[in-house]
Amino acid sequence: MDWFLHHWQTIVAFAIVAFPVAIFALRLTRPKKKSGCGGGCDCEGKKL
Amino acid sequence: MSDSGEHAPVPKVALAGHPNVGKTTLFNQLTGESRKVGNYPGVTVERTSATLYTPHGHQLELVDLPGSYSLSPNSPDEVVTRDVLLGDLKGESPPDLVICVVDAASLERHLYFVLQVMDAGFPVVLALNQVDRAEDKGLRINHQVLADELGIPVVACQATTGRGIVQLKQTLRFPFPPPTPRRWKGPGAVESGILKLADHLEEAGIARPTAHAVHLLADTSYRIDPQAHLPVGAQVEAREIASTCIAKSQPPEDAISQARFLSIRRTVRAAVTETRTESETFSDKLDRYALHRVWGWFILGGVMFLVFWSIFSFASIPMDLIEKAFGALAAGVGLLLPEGDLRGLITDGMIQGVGSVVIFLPQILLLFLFIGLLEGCGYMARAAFLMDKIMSRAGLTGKSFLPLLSGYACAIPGVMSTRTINSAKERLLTILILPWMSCSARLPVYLLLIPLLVTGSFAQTMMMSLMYFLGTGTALLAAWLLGKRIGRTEPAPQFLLELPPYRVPDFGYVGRHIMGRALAFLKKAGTIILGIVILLWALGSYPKAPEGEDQLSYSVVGRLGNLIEPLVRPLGWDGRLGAAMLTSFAAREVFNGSMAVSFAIGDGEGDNATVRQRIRQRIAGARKPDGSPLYPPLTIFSLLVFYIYALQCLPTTVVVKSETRSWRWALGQLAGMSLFAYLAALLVFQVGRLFGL
Repeated sequence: MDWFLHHWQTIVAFAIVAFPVAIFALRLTRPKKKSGCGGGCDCEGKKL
Repeated sequence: MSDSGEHAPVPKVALAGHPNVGKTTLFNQLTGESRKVGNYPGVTVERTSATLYTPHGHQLELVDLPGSYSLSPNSPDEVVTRDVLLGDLKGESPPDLVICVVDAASLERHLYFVLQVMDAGFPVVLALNQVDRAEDKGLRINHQVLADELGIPVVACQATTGRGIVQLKQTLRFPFPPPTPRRWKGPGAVESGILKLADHLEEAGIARPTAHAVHLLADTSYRIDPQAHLPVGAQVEAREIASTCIAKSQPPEDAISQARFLSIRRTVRAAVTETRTESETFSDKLDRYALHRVWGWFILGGVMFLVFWSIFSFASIPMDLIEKAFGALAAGVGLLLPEGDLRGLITDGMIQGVGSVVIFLPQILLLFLFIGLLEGCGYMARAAFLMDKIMSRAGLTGKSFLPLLSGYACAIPGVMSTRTINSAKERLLTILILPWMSCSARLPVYLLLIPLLVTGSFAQTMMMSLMYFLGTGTALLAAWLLGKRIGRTEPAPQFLLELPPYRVPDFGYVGRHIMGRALAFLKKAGTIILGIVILLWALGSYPKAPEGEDQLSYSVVGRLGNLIEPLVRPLGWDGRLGAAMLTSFAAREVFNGSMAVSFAIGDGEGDNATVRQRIRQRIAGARKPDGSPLYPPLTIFSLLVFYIYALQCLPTTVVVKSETRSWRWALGQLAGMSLFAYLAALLVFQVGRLFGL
């Protein structure tokens, strides 16, 4: 209990830091949505 | 007429017309602010639509088509307009009615496009915009005669003031009238060719067969270039008919355009009276100076200087307020929480990190305000006209000016607005050099570092202008060099510009645009940047240093800095600057947050200085073991040069990939610009040192 009272700020800070870490990790690893119309409309051929 | 289009569940009305004719203002007047912005299927051309209710309560969908001079397209935007109006764009149903917006003062020139839209087989309403300008020019337009001659409703309006909007809505009575029959007649061979081709297309199940037949004969490239939605036989037959017409000395393109122009002249002669001979308008008088070969440049230079000077001067009051608010917030948290990691994270990490970015919101908004006002009042087109001479030396045209200028605000809309450039080579060159226009995200870095080099508002403005000049000059030089390697076989691009009259900007539109940018910036500061500064704080605070050791050197950031120090040392930087640069690779404005987090660690209480001042004090006060400055002016300048040239913006790279449809160009641009930035910073520092700076 004493240890927790002494280190509570570090624990909460770690929890806050873990939040963006988890979000960034999730964003990096989740499958990407394909852009465009879903194909079949010849848009792949319309290159710059 | 046998042509019939597919009908969407909610009737669709399209706004079409030349660029800069006031379509978007009219769109805003008709629909208010409830718009949906997306892309047309398969292409990266923006599609703006909104719901509109007629005075009789019918719900309609209003679509703002990309501005187009004709249905024979010259740019990706114009291709979309043609494909939508011919019903050729898959996933986008053709409209049920088209409102053609024309400039009343240049009626004859705009009517050609109107006839083309009518020929496409749609009911058309003509919105005669800028009637006040026509009146100023001494043109009296009899709307009723014009309507009778064209066979369509005509409404005089003034989109900027809302005049005629109610009358325009009243013409959208549902059900819509049938399309008006063609107003012109071509020579015999052409007319029989149209009939024959239309029969063929109807048999093949093509919607709007007559419209397609007319367009196949009127537009050579539509006849020759592969059109996936048309049966191959139709194009072959169109070519044969065209050959027959040519053999009879009636080339179909010339015959159709002549017939249309004859019809237009007849219409204009009947409906328009000139009450006085052409006299100089207010815009003409202003243009005598704004486009003058000497005064024009003085005015352009003056306007640009004024913009940047205002950004430095006027923004200081709201910036101080924001800074004080963040300072008070940090102090408040400091009073509530005892010393510890959580207090450090909130005050030194989150509040200082986010605050050091948000502080620049007033300057960014001022930049958007000026760009919006200059565009809205019509001066931007003059600037493009003047710049065309310089652009042409770099292998570009004045068409690239607006995307490049937008790049000063943000590279992303700049890259997207290159869609209006008809030459593929010019478009690619513009996209490749555009990130060297100093965008607003670079402002926080410039504004943090420039006061370390020079003092005083005038000197700082000059220094800031130098940053912009270096970026722009190098970009044009790069365009010239790249132009020699890319698309060598393409002909030199041509520039055609219609100068709009000077007018009072649409303040509502400018205001909404600025508000949108403010919200996007704050969202970014509150999400991505907040996340990054939290991580940076953690990387700078852990692992904990043993008693007596420097926390920063012991932390992950310190160790990372030490790791890359050999690489950045030749630029005059130390590991801390190197680490801050690395952390800002996804978004360059993170540099400030990173510096704030790095330098504020272990900060004592009672320091009333602002975040920026504290960062600058720390940078200026940092010393080497021998007592000399750790960051002399040459190091700061080398850092600035790096930030002028480095492409540190992940979203830009993604948009470049989407616009060029190639990772090769997007990643090549990222690698090339990063390498150039490193070499330029290296050159500056090493040459400066040779000169004993």
